Amino acid sequence: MKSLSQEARQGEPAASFTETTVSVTATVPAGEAAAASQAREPATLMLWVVALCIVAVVGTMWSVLGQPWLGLRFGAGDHGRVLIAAVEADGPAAGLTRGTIVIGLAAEGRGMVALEAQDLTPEPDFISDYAELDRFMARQGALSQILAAPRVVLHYLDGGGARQQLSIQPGERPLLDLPIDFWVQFFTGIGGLLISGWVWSIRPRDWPPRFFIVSGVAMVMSAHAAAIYSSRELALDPILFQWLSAANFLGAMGFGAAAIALFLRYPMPLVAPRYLVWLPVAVAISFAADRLRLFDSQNVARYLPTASEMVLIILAVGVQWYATRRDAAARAALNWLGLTISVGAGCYILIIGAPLLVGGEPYMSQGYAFGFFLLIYIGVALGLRRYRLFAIGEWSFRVLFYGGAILLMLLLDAALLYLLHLEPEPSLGLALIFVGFLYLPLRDALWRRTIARRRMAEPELFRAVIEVAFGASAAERGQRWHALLQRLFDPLELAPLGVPPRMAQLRGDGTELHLPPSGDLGGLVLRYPFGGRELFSLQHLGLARQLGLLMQHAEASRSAYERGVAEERRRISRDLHDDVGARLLTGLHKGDIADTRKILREAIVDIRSIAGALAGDRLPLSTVIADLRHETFQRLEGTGIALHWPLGAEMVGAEGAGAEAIMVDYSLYHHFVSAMREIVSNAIRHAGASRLVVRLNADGDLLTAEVSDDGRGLQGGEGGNGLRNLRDRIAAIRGSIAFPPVPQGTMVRIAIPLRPAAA
Amino acid sequence: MNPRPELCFIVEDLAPARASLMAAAEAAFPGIEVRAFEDLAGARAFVAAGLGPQQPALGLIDLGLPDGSGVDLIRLLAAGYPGTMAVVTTIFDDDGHLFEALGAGAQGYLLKDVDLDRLALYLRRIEAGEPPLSPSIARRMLGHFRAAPSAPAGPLPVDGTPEASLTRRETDVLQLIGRGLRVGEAADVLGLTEHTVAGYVKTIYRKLHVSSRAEAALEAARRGLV
Repeated sequence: MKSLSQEARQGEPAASFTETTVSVTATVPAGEAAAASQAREPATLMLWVVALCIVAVVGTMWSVLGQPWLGLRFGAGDHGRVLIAAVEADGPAAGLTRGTIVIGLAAEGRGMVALEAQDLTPEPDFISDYAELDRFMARQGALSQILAAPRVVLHYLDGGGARQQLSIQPGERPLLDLPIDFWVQFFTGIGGLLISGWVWSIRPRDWPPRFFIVSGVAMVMSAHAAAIYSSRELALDPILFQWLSAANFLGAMGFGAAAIALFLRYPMPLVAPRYLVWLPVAVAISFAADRLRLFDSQNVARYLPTASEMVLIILAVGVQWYATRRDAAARAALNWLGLTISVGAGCYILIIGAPLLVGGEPYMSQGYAFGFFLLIYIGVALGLRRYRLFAIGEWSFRVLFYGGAILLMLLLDAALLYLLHLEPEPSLGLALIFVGFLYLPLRDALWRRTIARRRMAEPELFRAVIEVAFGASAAERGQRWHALLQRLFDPLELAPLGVPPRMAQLRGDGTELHLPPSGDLGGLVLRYPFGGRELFSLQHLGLARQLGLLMQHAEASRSAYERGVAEERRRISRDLHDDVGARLLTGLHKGDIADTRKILREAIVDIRSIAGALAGDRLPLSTVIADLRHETFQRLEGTGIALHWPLGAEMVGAEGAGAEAIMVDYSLYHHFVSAMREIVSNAIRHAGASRLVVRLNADGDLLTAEVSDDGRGLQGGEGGNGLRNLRDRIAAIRGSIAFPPVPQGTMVRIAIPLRPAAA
Repeated sequence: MNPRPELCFIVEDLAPARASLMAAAEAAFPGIEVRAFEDLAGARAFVAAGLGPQQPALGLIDLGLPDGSGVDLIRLLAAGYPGTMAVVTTIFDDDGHLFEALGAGAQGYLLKDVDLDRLALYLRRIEAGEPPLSPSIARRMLGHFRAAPSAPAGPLPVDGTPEASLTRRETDVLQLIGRGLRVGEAADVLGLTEHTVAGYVKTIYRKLHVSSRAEAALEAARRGLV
């Protein structure tokens, strides 16, 4: 339950819950609904993210490695001159030495273009004046045309200051030649996209992860564009250059806007999503202002909007800080996320943007400064678990591993293909071997170490289920059921299910287990098992189904037990009412105190037999007869009536014979004993007899009783009520009653079938 | 056999029943001193203060009392007052109500729902060493001795095995009474005198008490209480 309240604070689970309910209850065909839910599974979304990463990697590498290559690194020398900072030993220009001053380049047989220090500028944003920017781009065009020629002539000064020429054939740029700041930007883009995409794949229906992935896409756009042009050897085609520069700016703007949107919705939703549409509008306006050159300086056009966004981010974080003052968990999440983004983006703006805005030089290479953004995404990934950022459980790391493994395999394959110039098949094989034998087992070992799996022994499970099923009230059973599921699966979320399945089912790539209702316990959905560290497996599904069966059996026995209790209660109340109640009522209307006493005694006898029957509902006939015989002797003691009750063979003989072996059920013996009591009572009260003879006989199918006295005999009307009672009782057990004529007194003969009628 | 009781005390919470029990005791033993109490506390005070251990007395004790169960008082009397004959007074003679009291040392029971003459008659029979025994109690006793035939075997030195288990004859008597035979009829079937059978019944009562006590001691030892 605690996880639910935590859930409510972070992200927007309320929205996602209603969406879930809608998608389930909406009258869409089952197939479509399944397809829709399929599309939302984290692993599938993660694959799309990985595909986007691959596109970014391939596009960037193709752009960088496709450029003509001289194998030189140029640097700025004194007096605006360009010199050679490094020479690639195996490169096309291996003959040159370091420190050589370069005058210019020419295509073979064409005029030379002199090199300027500004040609080496890694980032054209740094150029403030638009006219200067145009000139820079024009020179890039001229230089890139020269470089594209089959042979390039390099004009330089030798050690003695003499002008020399060297004709070079540009080659292909090797991967290892790419500078470190390229890789920083490259991995910042890929890392940002992968991490933000992963968060989005887990919670694609919540707004904050959506903003987060927008920031990741913007980041990869900005970082990779910058990586391509700032790592150029000398020049790029100006059209490509302009596009990349625009993409870099748009990416930076998009990142800022996404961060603002994020902090307007997370941890607390401050603004309705529809108002956030103004953010892309603002980005578009800034982008247009830059393209249309509405500002005097490019520095202002590019760094004023990003700096403004930075200020807005910090403001939004401040408002969130106020909004989360009563919510410690949300505050902790904000602190972490706000700190990483503010510090990461803030450092970049302070180091690169601020000096440019005030007319100075950046304090650091832009390529390296991009590393701050990678820190943001790594920080978020680290904070996910601790602060439950975006309400994401630890289990989702498995999705990241999954996406990471696929991406790593492809990258490794590409790297091996490139570096070793191997044929595709063996390279793929090596990558597979690496991932399969090193990475995956390593990951699985780590995984197993972090998860302490608790198993419940079967007897324990059985006892727990019985405890659930035999809870006193529905509320108690529900509580125990939840506790048992918590113990078995430790899910982060445990919620009632609107439309439960017939059998336990796995959903959402194993993040959810749907349980059917059981007895008066409703259907449940369990999300993110084992504290969110693991997915539901088929084993867990099997356990859940076994649990369901156990619950069914236990519920069945409980309801049988309850039916038995209710049945017993009905019997007691019916007998109390029919027997004791009727008798006491009769006693109430008797005038004679002696009669009343007798009736009260009979009522006590009735109570005795009703209470006595509680012990068991089936008794041996011999026991019933033994008690009746004893009771009859007791009743006649002191009345002056002698009882003659000869013992049937079955009463004295060996155990297991005759009546000993016959079992009779409650309604039979109750009515039989009551009838016999009534007959004896009548004899005591009305007959004026001195002798009573009882003869019982039980053969297999029929119990016959013959009671005769030597009293006055039946007189018309006498005991009419009692007689009717007697007939009713005997009729109730399908017996017959007769009053055969005798010379003196009365004889009653009853016959009761001992076998139930064939139904 | 016990000497004729000179004192009878009655523990019964219902006033009319108390009165009729007092009348029955006086009718059964003319000249006897009768004391009556309505709860356990009063009876306990009397037993502690005014009853000698060897004094021949008769206690008629109800089970359901406002401040506890009469079984406790019966246990007390059986343990420390051999001169007193404890008799349970009850409405029902079914095993569920009586068995515990008989195990605790009651030497008979009296059905309260009978009239005065029969109350006095039953009392005299009990006093004469012919306690009543209903078929259901007889069956329950058989079950008890069958289930715990070797209760004394074990770490506890109980005073001789025969004290707590039944002889063949006693078992026969219980079986016959359990099947609804009266004492006289059982005597006929077994070829004994009625007096002998009545003596067996009395012995069975005593053995039930001994066996119950041994069982309780065994149970206590098992639970580490002694």
